[in-house]
Amino acid sequence: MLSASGELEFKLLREQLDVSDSVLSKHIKSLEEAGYVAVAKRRDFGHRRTWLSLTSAGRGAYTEHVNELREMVG
Amino acid sequence: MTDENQATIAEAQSALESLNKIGNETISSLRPPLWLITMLSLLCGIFTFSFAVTEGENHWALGMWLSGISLVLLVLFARYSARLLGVRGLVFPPSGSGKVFLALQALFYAVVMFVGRGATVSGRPEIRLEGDFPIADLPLAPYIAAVIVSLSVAYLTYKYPTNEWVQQDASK
Repeated sequence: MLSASGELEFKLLREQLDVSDSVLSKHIKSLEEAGYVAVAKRRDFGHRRTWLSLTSAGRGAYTEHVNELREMVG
Repeated sequence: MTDENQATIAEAQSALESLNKIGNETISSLRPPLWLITMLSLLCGIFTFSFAVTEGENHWALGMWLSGISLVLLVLFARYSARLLGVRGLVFPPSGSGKVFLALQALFYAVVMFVGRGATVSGRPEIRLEGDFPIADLPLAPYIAAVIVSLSVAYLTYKYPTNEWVQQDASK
C-alpha cells in the first residue's frame, strides 16, 4: 500500500489491513528499525496523526523483492 | 525440476498474486470519487478547448482562465479531502517509475494541447502560422484535442490516482 502512495496515516493502514494497533505497530517498528519505513508524527487539523511512508531504501528493497519473485516465476 | 523448486515457484506465484490483489485494493481505496474525476476531466477538456480557440481577449480567454482557476481549486480540494481521510499525496511521486510516468503524462498533454492550438490557429486565414502546419485547416482540432485530454485525464485519474505506476490486474 505504501509503495502506491506518498504518505498514509497509521489509522487508515490499520483499517485497510484489518489488524490491531499493536500488531501494526510491531511490524512498523521492525520496518522502521531496518530503515524501510519512515514514521512522522504531526499535528494536522488539530489532531495528532501518525504518517507512514516508504524510505528510498524500503522502496528499493520492495522493488527488488518483486523483481526476484517475477524472475522466479519466469 | 525437483519438487522443492516447483514448490518455490508456486510460492512465488502466490506471493505475486497476493501483491497484485493488494495493489488493486489500494488503488480502489485511494481513488477519488467519480464525481470528482468527472469534474476534473471536464475542466481539463474545457481548458484545452479554450486554449486552442482563444484569440487575444475574446470570451474563450475568459473560459481558459475560469477553467484553469477552477481546476486548481478542485485539485486543492481533492488533496485536502484525501488528507482528511489519511492519504497525503506528494506533488511528485517518490519512485523513479512514478516520476517517469508523470513526466510522460505531462509531455502527452502538452503535445495534444499545443498541436490542437497550432492546428486551430493555422486554420484561420488571418493568423496563419509560418510554414505549413501538418493538420492545419482541421475545423474539429480543438474539439478533438479537448476530448483526448478529457478522456485521458479521466482514465489516468481512475486507474492511477496516486500517479504511481502500479501494475494492475487487467480484469479490474
